[in-house]
Amino acid sequence: MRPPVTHINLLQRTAAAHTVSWALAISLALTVIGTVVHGRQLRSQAQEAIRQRDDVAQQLKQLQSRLAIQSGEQAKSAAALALRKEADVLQPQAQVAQALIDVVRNAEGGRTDEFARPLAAMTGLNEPGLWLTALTVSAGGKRLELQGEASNGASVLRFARRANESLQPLTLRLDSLELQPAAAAAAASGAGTGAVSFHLH
Amino acid sequence: MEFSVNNKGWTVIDCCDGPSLCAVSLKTAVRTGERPQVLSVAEQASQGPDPDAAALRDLMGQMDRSLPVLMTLARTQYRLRVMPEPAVPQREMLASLRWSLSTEGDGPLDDIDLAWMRIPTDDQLPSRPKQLYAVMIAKAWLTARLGAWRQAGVRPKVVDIRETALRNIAGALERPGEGLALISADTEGVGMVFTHQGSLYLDRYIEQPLAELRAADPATRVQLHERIALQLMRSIDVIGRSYPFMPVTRVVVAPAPEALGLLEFLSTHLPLTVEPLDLNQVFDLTKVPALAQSPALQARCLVPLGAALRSAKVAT
Repeated sequence: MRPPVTHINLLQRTAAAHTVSWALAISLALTVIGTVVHGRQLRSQAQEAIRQRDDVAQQLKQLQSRLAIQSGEQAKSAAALALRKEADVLQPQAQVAQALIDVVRNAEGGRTDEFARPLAAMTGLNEPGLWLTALTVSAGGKRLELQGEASNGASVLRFARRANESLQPLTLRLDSLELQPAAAAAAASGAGTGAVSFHLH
Repeated sequence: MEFSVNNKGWTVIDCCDGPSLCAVSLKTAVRTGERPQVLSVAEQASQGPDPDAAALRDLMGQMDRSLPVLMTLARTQYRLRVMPEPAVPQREMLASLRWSLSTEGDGPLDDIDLAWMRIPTDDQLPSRPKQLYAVMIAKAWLTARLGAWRQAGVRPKVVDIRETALRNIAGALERPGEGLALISADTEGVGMVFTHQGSLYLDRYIEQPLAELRAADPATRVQLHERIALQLMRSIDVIGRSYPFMPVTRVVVAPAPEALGLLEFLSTHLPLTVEPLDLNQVFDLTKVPALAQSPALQARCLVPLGAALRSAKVAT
């Protein structure tokens, strides 16, 4: 194997300067390339992070939306349940009223007018959570007794006040109120709810 | 010393030898076993050692401009000398050589550029003091020439010398283990290089103007040839004593500008094998038939062709 042969170049110094220039240029180019590559990596990582953030935000929005829907449905369900419960409570009152009307029609015959006026005055009253179980008109329409149940005593007081206002043109007045806890009402709406039975006359 | 990375080839301009410019483009990137291919060659008349820009442009217009450019200098434009190799690390070699030359009174060394190449004897003669070739060139002259070349659109990557160019050709002709002498004549004299394993070990130059040899009568011409032969034998004797590991048993004579009988004289009178240089042994000349057929053009292009072998891989 022949050993390497030495070559000379009398442009060494100029060439050395060029070599340094090239080295600097190459270093600069490598630095720029490295910066670009690193920058791209950083940008791509940043874009990935932004994408993940957007995804998370989107998921959060969806969750919030679903939560809102669920909350709305729950609220609607709660309102429906409350309405249903109230309807259930009112159902016996309606049945009693219907029975009462039937009885009045059958029993009073031609004296319906004396009975009808206080009854008409009473039918215009509507107090939520209060229902009547008995309405008695006697003394030729001069005396009125009301029995019923209410979810609380305040309803009864409001009903009594409004009943007197309605009965005032008929010169009737309910002067006495008897209140006591209603066992049936308590059983229907749950113990300890404040339901009362009342007797107004 | 080599810093240019090039394995395609070279366009070489030899601008400073005699009355002509010469350029060759050589492709050295060839398949294993193939010879470097001469792509183009051109010779152009010149007014002097400093060719004008137009002549250089014309010359370059005939060359392969994709190849890097190498310029070879005339012998008068640099100094080549053998020196002891300073025992310093390679990176400090130039500074050490510069200091050594300054102590020998070789003039203001800040004004010269310096290059060097080792004469390898480490393996064969490890105890022998090492030597090297130092090449010196005037910095101001080279700077001025570079400026002139660049104005002509020539931007050389390498500036080389004739001895290394001839060494490259001799190295390509060497057989394993031998020392080879390559004799070449130009218009100003006869040069000799002695190589072994591709490295230059000795060089000689005999100033013998071609015009004088041409004008000489037969008896005088024989005397001139004898002078050359004597110098050759002395040099071979020096090689035998200084570098006994490289016996010079073969002398190759390059084509001459004119056939004045040197090859025949040496073949007759030397107790050595004397052979004519066949450039086809070294180069693929199929693309340049003019060069293949003209010994005079071969003689003129010998230095640029040898310089262009710089990056060629030589089969051993």
